[in-house]
Amino acid sequence: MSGQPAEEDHELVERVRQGNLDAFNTLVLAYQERIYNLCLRMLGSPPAAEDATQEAFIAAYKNVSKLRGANVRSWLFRIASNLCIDELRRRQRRPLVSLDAPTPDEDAQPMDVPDAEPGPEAWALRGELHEALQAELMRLPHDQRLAVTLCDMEGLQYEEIAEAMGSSVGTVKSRISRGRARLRTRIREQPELFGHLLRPIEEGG
Amino acid sequence: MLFWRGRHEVREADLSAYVDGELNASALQRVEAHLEDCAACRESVTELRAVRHSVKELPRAPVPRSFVLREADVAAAPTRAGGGLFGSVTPLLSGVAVIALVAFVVLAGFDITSDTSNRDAGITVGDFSTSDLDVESASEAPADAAVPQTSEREGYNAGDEGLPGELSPDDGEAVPPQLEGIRDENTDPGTDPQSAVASGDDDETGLRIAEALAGGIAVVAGGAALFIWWRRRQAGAI
Repeated sequence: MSGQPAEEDHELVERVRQGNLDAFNTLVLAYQERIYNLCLRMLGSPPAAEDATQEAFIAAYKNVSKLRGANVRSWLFRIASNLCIDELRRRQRRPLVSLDAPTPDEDAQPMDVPDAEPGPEAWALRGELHEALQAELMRLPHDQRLAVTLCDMEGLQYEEIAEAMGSSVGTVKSRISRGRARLRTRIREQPELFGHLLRPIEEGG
Repeated sequence: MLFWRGRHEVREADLSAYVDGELNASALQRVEAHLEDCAACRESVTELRAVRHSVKELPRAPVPRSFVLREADVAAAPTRAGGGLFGSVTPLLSGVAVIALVAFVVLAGFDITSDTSNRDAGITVGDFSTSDLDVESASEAPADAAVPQTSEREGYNAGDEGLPGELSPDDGEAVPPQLEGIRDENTDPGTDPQSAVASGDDDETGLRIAEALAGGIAVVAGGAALFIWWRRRQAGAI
């Protein structure tokens, strides 16, 4: 993921812009993991993320003519971000299924995300922590969740996040800051769950 | 939190951007200088780093399947470069809007014209006398006034929706029953002049209705086309 250039090969992009499906699928293979994980963190469930990812690539293919320059990454993230926000707004308009749903997004399911940790105890603890953190992410307002995810999970810079969200860098900065402030507060409130999460992290972490 | 401690030269958003390495040179210098003196902000930076790290460390899921597109997945051909912003629906809506707008302008023009010619013909109820001569000459004018309205109605109906229940869009020769009645009445010496005037009013009412319909269709179709274009811009995302 980190080794991926922001700009794709120009020749490839030109073929994509001409509507060449094979060329487009090269991009799909290069970016599907990132787009899927973005949708997963935004929508909170693997089935929803799968649908959104498929929709995003279809929408991207149908709108190849709108691809400007060779920054495919921004373009794809923008399409996926808009789709996720639209889906979240659609969910909000539907009546609540359960009154005691813990999160604003009642469709969020526990995520069966495989973990690389070997020991069973460590694995269980780690899984609980990750699920708790994901639950807190799902509590964030959509725009803050998106900004934090694009920054922290996908490693985008503010400029690119601004492009993906269709807003200014200042707005992105503010959304990330407010999102983190909320997460920080919630983590502090639940030490039994998050333990020493807020303890010193060495620089560069 | 920092904001409420009176004048504090560094805001939480600045610390968050500092953690992300997104501050410009002068802001970076300012924040670093501040951090040397402010334990609370140093604590904040530590916690912000931890939050960022923990989100970053959330496990990445492998894709459940390949999202490579097949021809069947893509219902329509992609928009070619320079193919424009519109999909298949908006040209139709735009076309309808334009036709309706043109119809509205034409109808409004005739409306104004017919108002003028009616005034010239001097048709008022008081003009009609019991003499045959007067009846005949007065009855000529409504017929003349009716003729352009008829052809204009025919023109209107050539390609568009006709007035409900009265006119067929396909029949360019169609004459509405009202006008037919007027013609018959006007050529008949025994015509009641007042009914000719009343029919003239009906004409105008019909014209107004047609204008309103054309204007309404133009607004609705044009508005819908604009809305769809705007939504496509948003969703198409670029």
